[in-house]
Amino acid sequence: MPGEKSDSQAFSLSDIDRVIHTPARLLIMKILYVLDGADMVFLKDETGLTWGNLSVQVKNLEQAGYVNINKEFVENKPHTVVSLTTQGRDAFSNYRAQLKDILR
Amino acid sequence: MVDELKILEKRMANRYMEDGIWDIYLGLMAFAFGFGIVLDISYLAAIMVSVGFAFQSIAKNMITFPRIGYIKLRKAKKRGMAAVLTGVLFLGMMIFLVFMLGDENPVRYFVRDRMLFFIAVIWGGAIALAGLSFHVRRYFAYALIVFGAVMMSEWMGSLGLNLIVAGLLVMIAGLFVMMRFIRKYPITPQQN
Repeated sequence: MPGEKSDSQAFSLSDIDRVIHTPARLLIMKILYVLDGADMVFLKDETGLTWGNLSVQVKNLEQAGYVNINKEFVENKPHTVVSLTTQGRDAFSNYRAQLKDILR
Repeated sequence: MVDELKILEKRMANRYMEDGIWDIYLGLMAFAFGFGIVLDISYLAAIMVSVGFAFQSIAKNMITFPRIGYIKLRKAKKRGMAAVLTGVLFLGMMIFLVFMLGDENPVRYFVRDRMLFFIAVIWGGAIALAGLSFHVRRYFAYALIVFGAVMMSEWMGSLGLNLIVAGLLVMIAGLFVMMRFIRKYPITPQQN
């Protein structure tokens, strides 16, 4: 029985989403998961990342299809708004479920 | 982790109320109604509230967004806030409809005799619900101040003066909140 559990855990670990499974991207995904969108200023402030690092991590998430990056005008001022795609939202939900399973 | 996400969502919504702009607007609303009653100019409150609404939008853009950025709250959260507003409007409409009832209707007399109490409950309740929705505790104090100001006029009279004082108190509190926010989040160079 204990052997079975560790097999399933090993499977879960190898199956874990590597795009999300880095501290910086996990933090970005977590913030975006509870919002419908946030601009780069907000994400920088919340994550504590540098502009360069944040930019790279958001680009990586965009390439994975997890986030959308849009230029929006709020009160005539441009904001680069990042939001989770449906795929990103599902991926984060799966990631949470997998982590929960592993940590149980 | 679910609870942690809920806490995070609350913190995000709460952060947008840290700027004190809505506090000042709430205070301005009470002040404007009081001022309108004292001067007996009914449309003054409407003008001040409209100007205040435009001000809060500009202020968010000038004070809040450059400091902490811009977020879009989840649709479910917005729906919750819309439900609160609809509820308040519905209660207001109900009171109005009660006054449309015939002179002999006992419900009309019941409401008319307790008019200030109903206004105090609806107004104070709306502020308290906003506090609950955005998880801002100081709004409960504002709700009490406005409720108290309206109810005190039941015994002391001078509803207008009470609302002016209540509005000023809330606006001063809002200004302190705004000053703290500006000091806490200085504007840093952006790459947006």
